Amino acid sequence: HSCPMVLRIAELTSFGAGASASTHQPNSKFTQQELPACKPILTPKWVISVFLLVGVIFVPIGVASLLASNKVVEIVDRYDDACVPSNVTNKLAYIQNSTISKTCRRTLKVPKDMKQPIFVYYQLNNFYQNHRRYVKSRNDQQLRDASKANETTLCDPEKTRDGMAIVPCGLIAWSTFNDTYTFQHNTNNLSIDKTDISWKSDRDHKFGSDVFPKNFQKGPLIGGKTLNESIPLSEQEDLIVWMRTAALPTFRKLYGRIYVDLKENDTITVTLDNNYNTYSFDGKKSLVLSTSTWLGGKNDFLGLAYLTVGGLCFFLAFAFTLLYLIKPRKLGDNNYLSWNRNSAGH
Amino acid sequence: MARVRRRLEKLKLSTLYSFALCAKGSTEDHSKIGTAGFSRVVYVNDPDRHEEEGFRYPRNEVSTTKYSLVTFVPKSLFEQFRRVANFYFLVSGILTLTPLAPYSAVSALLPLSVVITATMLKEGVEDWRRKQQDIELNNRIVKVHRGNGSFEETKWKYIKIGDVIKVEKDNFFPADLILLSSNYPDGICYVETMNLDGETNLKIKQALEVTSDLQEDGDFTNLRQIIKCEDPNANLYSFVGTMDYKGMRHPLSPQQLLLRDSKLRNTDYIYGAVIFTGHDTKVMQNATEPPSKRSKIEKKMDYIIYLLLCSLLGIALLGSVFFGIWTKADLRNGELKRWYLRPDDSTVFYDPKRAPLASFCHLLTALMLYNYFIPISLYISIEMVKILQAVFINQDIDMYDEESDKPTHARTSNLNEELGQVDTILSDKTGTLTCNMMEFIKCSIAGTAYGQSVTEVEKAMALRKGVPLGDEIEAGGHKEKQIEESPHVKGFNLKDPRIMDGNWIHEPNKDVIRDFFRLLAICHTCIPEVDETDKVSYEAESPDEAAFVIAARELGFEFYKRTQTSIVIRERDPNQNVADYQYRKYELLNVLEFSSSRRRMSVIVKEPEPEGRILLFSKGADSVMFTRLAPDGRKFEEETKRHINEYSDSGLRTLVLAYRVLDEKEYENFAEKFRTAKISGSADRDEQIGEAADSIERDLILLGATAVEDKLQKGVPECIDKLAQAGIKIWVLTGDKMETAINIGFACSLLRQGMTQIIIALEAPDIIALEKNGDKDSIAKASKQSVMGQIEDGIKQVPTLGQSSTESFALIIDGKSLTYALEDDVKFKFLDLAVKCASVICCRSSPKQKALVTRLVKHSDKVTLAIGDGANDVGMLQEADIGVGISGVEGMQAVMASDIAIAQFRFLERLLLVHGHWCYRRISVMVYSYVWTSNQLSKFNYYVDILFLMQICYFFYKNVTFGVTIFLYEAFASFSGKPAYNDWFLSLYNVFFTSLPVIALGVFDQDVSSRLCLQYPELYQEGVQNVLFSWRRILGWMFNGVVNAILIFFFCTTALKDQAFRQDGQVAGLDALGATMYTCVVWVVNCQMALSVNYFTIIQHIFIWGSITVWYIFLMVYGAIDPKYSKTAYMVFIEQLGPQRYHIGW
Repeated sequence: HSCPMVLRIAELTSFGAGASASTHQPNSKFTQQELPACKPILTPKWVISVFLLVGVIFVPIGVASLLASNKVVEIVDRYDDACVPSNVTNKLAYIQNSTISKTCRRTLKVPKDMKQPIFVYYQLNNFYQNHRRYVKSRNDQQLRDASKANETTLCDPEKTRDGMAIVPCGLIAWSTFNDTYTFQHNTNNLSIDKTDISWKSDRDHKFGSDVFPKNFQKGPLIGGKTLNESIPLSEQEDLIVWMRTAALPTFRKLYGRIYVDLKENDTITVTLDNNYNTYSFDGKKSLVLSTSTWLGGKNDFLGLAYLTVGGLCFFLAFAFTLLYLIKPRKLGDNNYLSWNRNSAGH
Repeated sequence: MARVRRRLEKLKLSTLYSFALCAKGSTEDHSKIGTAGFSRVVYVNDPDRHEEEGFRYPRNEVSTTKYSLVTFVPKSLFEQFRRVANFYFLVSGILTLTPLAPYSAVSALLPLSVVITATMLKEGVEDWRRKQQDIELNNRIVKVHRGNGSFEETKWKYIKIGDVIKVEKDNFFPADLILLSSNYPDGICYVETMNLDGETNLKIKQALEVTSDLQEDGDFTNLRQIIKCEDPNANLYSFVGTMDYKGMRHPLSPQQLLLRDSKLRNTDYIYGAVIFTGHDTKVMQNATEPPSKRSKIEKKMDYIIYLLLCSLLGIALLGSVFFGIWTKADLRNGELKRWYLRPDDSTVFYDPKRAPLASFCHLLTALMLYNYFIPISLYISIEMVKILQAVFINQDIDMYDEESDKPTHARTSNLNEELGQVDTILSDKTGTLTCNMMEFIKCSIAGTAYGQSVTEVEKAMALRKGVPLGDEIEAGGHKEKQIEESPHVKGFNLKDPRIMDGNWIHEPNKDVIRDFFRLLAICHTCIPEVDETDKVSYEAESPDEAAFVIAARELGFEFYKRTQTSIVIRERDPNQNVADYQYRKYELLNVLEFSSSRRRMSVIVKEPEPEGRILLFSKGADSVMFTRLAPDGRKFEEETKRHINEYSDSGLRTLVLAYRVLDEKEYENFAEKFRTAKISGSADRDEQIGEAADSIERDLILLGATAVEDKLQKGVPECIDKLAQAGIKIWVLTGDKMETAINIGFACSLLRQGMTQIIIALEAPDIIALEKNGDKDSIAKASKQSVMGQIEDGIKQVPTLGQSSTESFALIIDGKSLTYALEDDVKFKFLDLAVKCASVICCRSSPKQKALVTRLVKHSDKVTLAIGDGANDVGMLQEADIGVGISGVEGMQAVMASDIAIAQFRFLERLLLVHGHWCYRRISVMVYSYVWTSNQLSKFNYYVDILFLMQICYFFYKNVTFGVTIFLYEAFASFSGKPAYNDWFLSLYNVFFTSLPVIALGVFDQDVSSRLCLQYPELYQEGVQNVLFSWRRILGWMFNGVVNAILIFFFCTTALKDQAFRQDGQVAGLDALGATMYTCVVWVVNCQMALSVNYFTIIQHIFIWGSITVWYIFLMVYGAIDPKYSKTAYMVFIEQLGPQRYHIGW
């Protein structure tokens, strides 16, 4: 019943009140919560014009994106099945057999003129580069710093070989893609430029120019590409590209660029070494040649999305206009207030 | 001043009172002294001896802080982790230190520690404030005897048991004291215990006779006493002890006990011996933590957390199962499937050979990963929002009372949104609806009505009828102007030229008028205080009495002086000669005090010579007075009754005045009887006194009646009107009698003309007859049956809901009936009836009944708000969902128990209709936006069911949006537990990029302006009916949310699929996709916030667009940090996302 701390709190309140007494209760638009404000009222005109505006902006963007995407010429050639001789039943055994030559020849037809640069990608399917075990299995310090060569934490299970640290350690590096492509165009060899296919920041900051591969792929189980031990990591661009892991199980990675214009109906012969094992997990391998525009590679989605949204906005603007013209509603009609509605309704 | 004192010194006030005030010491058993529980020994004036004797008593220093320097960290940490969510985060934070963690430990622990630190800081500041108060209190100064009769000023905290201290007028007692003496010769003193029990009337304490002659400082030089008494306890009204003094043992009672935190009044100084110090004092022993109230939404929040934990567990389980299956498939008959994961050489977390175990470990990982479903900053943000809301409530100038300089003070910020859902207000009357300031406004003398002032009630009624008061006002107004030139006298508002300024002498019944005002000047228990300018002011027990004495004074019958045996009246000559005073000294023979059962008071005086008659002056309620009139004293009965009825209708309190001339013999008979009754120690002493008084208070001659207005507080009727329009039901719980309560009900527009009143009272003749016979059981039975019957009749009268509006019914119930109506088997029927009535008035209700009624209303699951100002309302305030205290005149008791303190009742309107509405809306918008992203449609029904019970908030929304994108990504990463986002993106999501706009919304948003809120009180129903949480809305939000999260994910993954995403041919890796998706989430969540905002001030703009900007800045800064720390975010913005193209237009 009786509150004991009355006195003290009485003191407190008077202390509080006293403070405001001397300074006066503040009275401003801020404290009274009456700051100038914009209160967007969704009037029909406002809504319709917003929709129209969005439509007007989005449709051209969509059209431009779609045009850009359509301008891109892309050749995709899946070769994982085709490059296994038809008499081989156990593809896995075939690919794992290092004694067999796995050279394979593919002929590609250019569907449209392709302006240089033409980008060469390899595409893998059903390959979980984003698996947590896989993503984690690297050591950034080791890759960057020659003095940290023995730093192999997180690199399980590709840490050491015979007690010596593996450089670069970890599953990612170990499983680097190792199919190789050479292109011939009208019997001329097409040279592939493999420089600068990786991100500059990776070359400059994440992979050291004084770090050389060591003890790499020396184990009983060979994963992927072997590295030239005399080339520093910062120049092993295939590795760098591979090590920037993909977000999704289907991904492309840049293999190189061709600086030759190709004409429609030209044929290109690709000689490839089919080394990389995607057979065990039913993955697909494809070779992709693509040009690019300001928007990048071929992807209609963005354009379509813009068009759809823009179109929808136009449609809504149109529908609302109709509604507004056919059945206008007075703004600020008190009859629509909930209590008025209720009493009217019952 | 000096004069007053001299006069008072001679006055032994203790003999003046007859009944209760000076009740003799308790009859408690003093033989218990020395036994267990009564072991305290105090050596008065010898404080050092206690230690020598081995007694250990605490110091007088008090501490009310929750923490000390040492305990602060562990104790407040413990408090923090008692919260479900915080505990969860602590556990998952610890787990991040293991290899199970999907992200780095630092990134997970940092936000947690930020949140915990912030909350701890808040706690610390609050505690520090308490500390400051303690320090202030402990350092107050009091005079303590330091030997040789010299008193030194000492700080409170240094006071020790046994010290003799001297407390001066208007100071607080620093500890519990035994009163030794005061400046009055009989050792009495006046004490105001407002801080203890809220009562403003002064209480009299009296020292033992043996010590009351210790009048001078020097008397204490050699004083030695030993006090033995009970151990410290919390009972304020009992005390048992003995004092050994001068070889004698004297019993001590509560009559000698002065309690800490009460105040010395009307007494120049007292001497006292300290017997309880510090935390031993009764007041500190009473210190209990006030019950902590949590708002309903907050209560539901824990459920929401549980629910989210469940759904989180569900998602995690789903992921783990898939993970387990896929992991197991990686190794079949020694063949490696996903060879690049080296399933043959795996740790336990990914080992196909131990897939179930791996699956379990993954479950833990997933639980950590998906903890973004649970917003870590939720509690702190909501707390911040509420504190800021409270700040705005406190600062609202429209709820600031200039007169008393009191702003509104939200003492707890927990309940702001409940303010928007109040269904029933339970209000005290006196001091809450009314000012507790009585104004003598009208009177009826000798059958003539005087007084032309218009009462509030009349104004209100006229206003309602739409009839202008017209001529009356005009005429009155004219005269008012003249009168108003003279300063308004507090407590007096009689305006009638016929009797003012001595004009009464020209009235036909001038003798009656004279007697009437003489009676008013004599028949009371006030004490006059004459200041230097010869102006008299009065100390009265009740404001009514003061009003009477003041009225008499204004009419020229000035109560001037009171001595033990006499009352002096200074009469102004009615013939305008102001300087000419006539002093009339009445010999005071007896005072027959007012009591609630007698409902009257009388004094017996002997007139000054030459008349020298013995007169009995009596004033009382009409119900008792009219039956006591002599046959020849009923001359004006008819008119007076009529006037009384008129006054009652105008909401005035009336008293009937009558007198009687006693002859010597009759008086002596009475005096003898009265004296014997008074000194008799028997149990029925009070009854005997009553009987004696009753025998003399007969055959009275009617003089007239007074009408006193219990002034309504400013704006009360308007406020109640608005609240009623807002659909809030108002119950008035008052201690007043039914007539007064009904009057006030009309005055403050609780009751309206057209309303049907359902009155439940126990005044049936058979019950009254039973009461006289006394058999308690049968009374109870009959009463209960009667109440039952009346309630049932009432229910029949009121149409069931839906048939027609409940507008026109009012329930009025009196205290006695309430006792029965609150019994278990009746109460729900009573509630049924009560909730159907627009207004409910409970008269004559005790504090406990108030609390019980409040509890009963709470049963109906409605939010209740109790408002009151006095100690008798404390129970009610604590019981209600929201307690609002009026920081008015009746002390701080109610304010202490309240959640929000306001200065005037009318502020309630703005508090509820504006702030309540806003706060409710704000919190609930935060709440329900959440819903829209629960990803699992299968769970929708489940959600919806629970959503009615619990309202989930925007925080949850944004977190679920975020969480769902993580989850969807998982599905594309074979549920391995790889988050799509960089560690720090994850952990800062809640802290930086999305929290501030929500807080801004919570603090500043308003759907309609305060003006509109007040203009359309109906808007308030939105909160009461919980419209904002309606089914369709929730479902709509849910759908919106799911679409939203899925769109973000698929839009991003499709747009950044496998093709080059820029001209130079590079493809987007995990880093680019993560950053893009994150950007989308930040945009969408903030834009959604922008869409939810109704009131776009600069602040909202800053927070919403600022948050998005902060994200980009963060991305750039973080990306520029060495890749050792920034990892995948390194240069991701500069290099890859440079031209940021993927904003989803929504």
